[in-house]
Amino acid sequence: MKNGFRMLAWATVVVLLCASTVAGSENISPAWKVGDRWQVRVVYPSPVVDDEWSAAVYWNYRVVGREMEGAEERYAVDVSEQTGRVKLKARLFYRCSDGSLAGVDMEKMSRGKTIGTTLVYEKGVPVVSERTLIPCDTPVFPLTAPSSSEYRITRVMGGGMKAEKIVRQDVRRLPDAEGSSSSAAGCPLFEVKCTDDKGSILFLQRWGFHYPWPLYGENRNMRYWLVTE
Amino acid sequence: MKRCLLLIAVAILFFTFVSGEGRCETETYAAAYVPWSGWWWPTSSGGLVTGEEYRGHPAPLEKYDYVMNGRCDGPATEFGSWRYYSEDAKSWHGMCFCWAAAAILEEEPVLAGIYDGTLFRVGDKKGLITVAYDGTLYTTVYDDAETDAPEVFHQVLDYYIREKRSPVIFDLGTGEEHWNFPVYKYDTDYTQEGNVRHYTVKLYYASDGVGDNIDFVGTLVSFSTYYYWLEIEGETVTGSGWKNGSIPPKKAFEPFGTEPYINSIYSDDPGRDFHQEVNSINAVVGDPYEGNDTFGNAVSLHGGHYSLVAVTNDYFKVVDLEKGDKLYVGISSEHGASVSLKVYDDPAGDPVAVIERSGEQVIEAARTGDYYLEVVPWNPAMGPYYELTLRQSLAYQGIFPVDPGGLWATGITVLGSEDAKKIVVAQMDPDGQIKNSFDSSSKSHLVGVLERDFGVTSHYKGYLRIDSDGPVQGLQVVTTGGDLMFGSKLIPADSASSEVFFPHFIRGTFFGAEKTWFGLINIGNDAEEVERFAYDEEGILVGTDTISLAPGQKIEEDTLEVGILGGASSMKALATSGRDCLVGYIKFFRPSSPGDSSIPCGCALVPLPLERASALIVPHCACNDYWRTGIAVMNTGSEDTVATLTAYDADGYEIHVAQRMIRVNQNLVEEVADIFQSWDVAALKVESDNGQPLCGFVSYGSANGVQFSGVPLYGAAPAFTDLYLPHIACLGIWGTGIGIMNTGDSAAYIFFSLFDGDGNLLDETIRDVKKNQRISSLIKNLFDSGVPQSARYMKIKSTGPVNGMYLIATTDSRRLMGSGIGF
Repeated sequence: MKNGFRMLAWATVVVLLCASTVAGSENISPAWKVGDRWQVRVVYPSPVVDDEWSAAVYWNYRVVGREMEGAEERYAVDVSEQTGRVKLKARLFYRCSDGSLAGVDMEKMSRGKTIGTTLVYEKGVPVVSERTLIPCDTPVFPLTAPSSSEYRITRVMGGGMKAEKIVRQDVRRLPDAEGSSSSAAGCPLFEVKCTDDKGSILFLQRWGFHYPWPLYGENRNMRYWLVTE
Repeated sequence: MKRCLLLIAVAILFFTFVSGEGRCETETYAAAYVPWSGWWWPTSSGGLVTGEEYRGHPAPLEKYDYVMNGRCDGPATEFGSWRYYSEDAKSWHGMCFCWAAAAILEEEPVLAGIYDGTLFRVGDKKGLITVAYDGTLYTTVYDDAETDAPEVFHQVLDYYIREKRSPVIFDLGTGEEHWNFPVYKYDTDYTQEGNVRHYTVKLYYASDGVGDNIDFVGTLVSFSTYYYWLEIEGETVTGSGWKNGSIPPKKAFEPFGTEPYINSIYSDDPGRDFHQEVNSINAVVGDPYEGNDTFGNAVSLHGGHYSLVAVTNDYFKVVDLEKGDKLYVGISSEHGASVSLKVYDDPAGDPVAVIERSGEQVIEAARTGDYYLEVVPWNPAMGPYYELTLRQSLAYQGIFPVDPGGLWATGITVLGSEDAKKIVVAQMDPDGQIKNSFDSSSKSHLVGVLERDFGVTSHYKGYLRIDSDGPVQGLQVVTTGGDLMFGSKLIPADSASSEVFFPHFIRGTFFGAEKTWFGLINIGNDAEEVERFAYDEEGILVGTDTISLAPGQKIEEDTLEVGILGGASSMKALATSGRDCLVGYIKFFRPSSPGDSSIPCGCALVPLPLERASALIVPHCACNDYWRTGIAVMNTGSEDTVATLTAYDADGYEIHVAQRMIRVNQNLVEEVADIFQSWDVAALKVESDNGQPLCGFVSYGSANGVQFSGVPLYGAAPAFTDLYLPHIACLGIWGTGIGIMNTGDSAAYIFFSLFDGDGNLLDETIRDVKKNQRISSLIKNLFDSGVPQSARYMKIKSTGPVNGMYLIATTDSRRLMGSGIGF
């Protein structure tokens, strides 16, 4: 019976997170299917001049499949730069169960050699894009406005040590005027903000209903926009 | 006793374990490779565009622009001047981040390379790749300002250097200053006090302190030490802090590459990829002849000036030297990166000449055949840069005095005698350095446009030197292809003089001309001190100055900018050594037609030195509604003279006589029609009554000023002299006319022979010419059947003394040039 209950609960989660978000409900989760594509425009800070940003870099996202990793089903999303001039690509793995980022396989070029990196993330906690130019900040879904939650995140430090930090996730529904610049006309926007225990913003995103990706996001390394046209 | 010691040791270990006290062994972790050192290009000096602190101009971005955009002040330099150069910048502001990113992600440029003829040293290459990384895409992985604590610093080192074995950029600046370095190694140890670990971490990084030698190759290592503590509960860090006065690094960054569209250099042309273009420059190592590393692979060189890099021994050869030919060999290399040059007439034998590091030698060929050059770098790892100069000096030389380049195309004709088996055309820069050359061993008549036909592709605003093993004559025509054209005969080297006279120049107007340039070339092998004397309209000295001319050096000056010429009317240049080493020219230029600025301009060139004779002949005068003829004659003697000007009609009859007093160093400048108040003059003789040496030139110009030409004046050529017109222009819109005067005391026969480029006789004609009569005719009208298309030159021989000139013009009445025949 216990097993059956767990199965039911698991199935419920999968249904909740993988089904399309129903318009009008006050929460948002991305809903993908294999073959979905989208493009994200990103700018990065200049290394030389403060408050100067790079020319836009366009990243193409494509849901290439659903695959099992142990008992967990995941979406595989390939990401590559539009021109091919930025020698970096990644495959992002999202848990179908809750939409959280499970891991990243990444390849970059250095001195003509390919360097691979694999990052693994805990389930059920926000993930900040790190060690990559590819936006993959991921809040905890579903986004419910208003809501505030705290999560304890563990980081492996090497030498057998770990560090923990508290990340707070706040979600609010933007007033129409405030969100209008980032949203399709007439659609409400949710803003999710993750901060550390000192109040520093780790990332901020604005989500709209029916979009596969935040319409806008930022962290200390980049600003990004979903290309909607 | 042994058991006792063992117990003590066990006890120490036990207490250490229980109390948590102790010291960890130092551990060292390093990236898989070591980043390279480079310069941080301070903004206050702007070395990337100014060359300051490096090698001056051309600076790295100027070189880039030159090879990629065709000019040193191109878009990259313009952008760099704005972005990388500000005298008011803070002293610490520069390109350290970009260099650090490049040093991590790019292979180190270790050898100079010559890309498209331009030398890029290691410092140039590192500078350019540093600029490419102005567009670094990176992530900040540690930020002290955002309260990232020591455990993040600890984690960054552990992840990037220990685990990924990859260098990472750290900003080790303090206060407002940022100093970014690629960190590639660290030592770490700690002491444990209870649940607190006290860490000592020493970072090793590539330094940018290469200001004394921006071409530095390798890594200068610097290090910094940091102290911090971590409080640990179980495996979890619960607290941390810096200690012992450690000022933590400001930030750490992981670089990924560069923007797809680098900053704004090519904002108007996204198809251009600065980084990719820099990569193509940096990929070039050595010079275009690499592979010439044995005698068997020796590259054949013509005379010229070559910029080269000796990655290994370099081998060259100069083919087909004749016994007795002279080969000038010069080499220049740098202190600390030197080469030796050895010259062989037989690769299996000993060198016939050796030059260490820098110097030059003249080698007289002891045998006929190929000569070999071996360049040996003293330290091949440095890939030393060197400059090699080769010039063959044959028995006969001549000078075409201008090589303007730019919009101008230069055509030349060189006509060798039967003895001339080899003709070498060498392009000289204004300093007298040979830059390019073209050898012909098969033709005695060369004709063509420099770039198109001789592969001489660059212009240095110098001159052309012709070497031949037999007597040669030649003609140079320079034109924009539009309305401007001027030219000169080949100036024989043996006509060089210690005294060169400039009988006339314009700082105002002369037949509408508004500007005059003087050119002077020292064709000797010695440095010369040249004294210049300026004379007014009365021949009175009004100014002197002295200039120096190195061997082979040419100067060209606008007469408006020669200070001594204020109030002057003529000039003399004198080599104080007395050596006959000077040749030159006078160049006139009319910006627009007199009275109508919409009509294009004209220009003319008079080669120097001028012949000095007591009687000068003007074999053709054109005075009518359309044409104007003027003369400029100077008394170069030591006494005043009365010059008798005798005018003849077309049949040789004397029709006018005029006299002019010409004082010492005075000039006579008049239009022929004004002298005689007549348009009937066909030819003219100017003669000194007391044998003073006169020199001068005649100018022909259309009344509207568009067509304009200058021709030197000569005495008479002796009878039966072979006179040549080295080029005939009769095709299309071109026409060639001649004026030949019988200057003898009796009638004479003049023979005209027409040849093709291979010296085959095409046609002949004979004219009977009375005393003082002159023939004025288009060449095509001289011969009954016209001029065949294959005709290239004409020979003229007379049974009496003659004087002649010719004019080449276009039938659209826009271009004109002329020269004397046979002199």
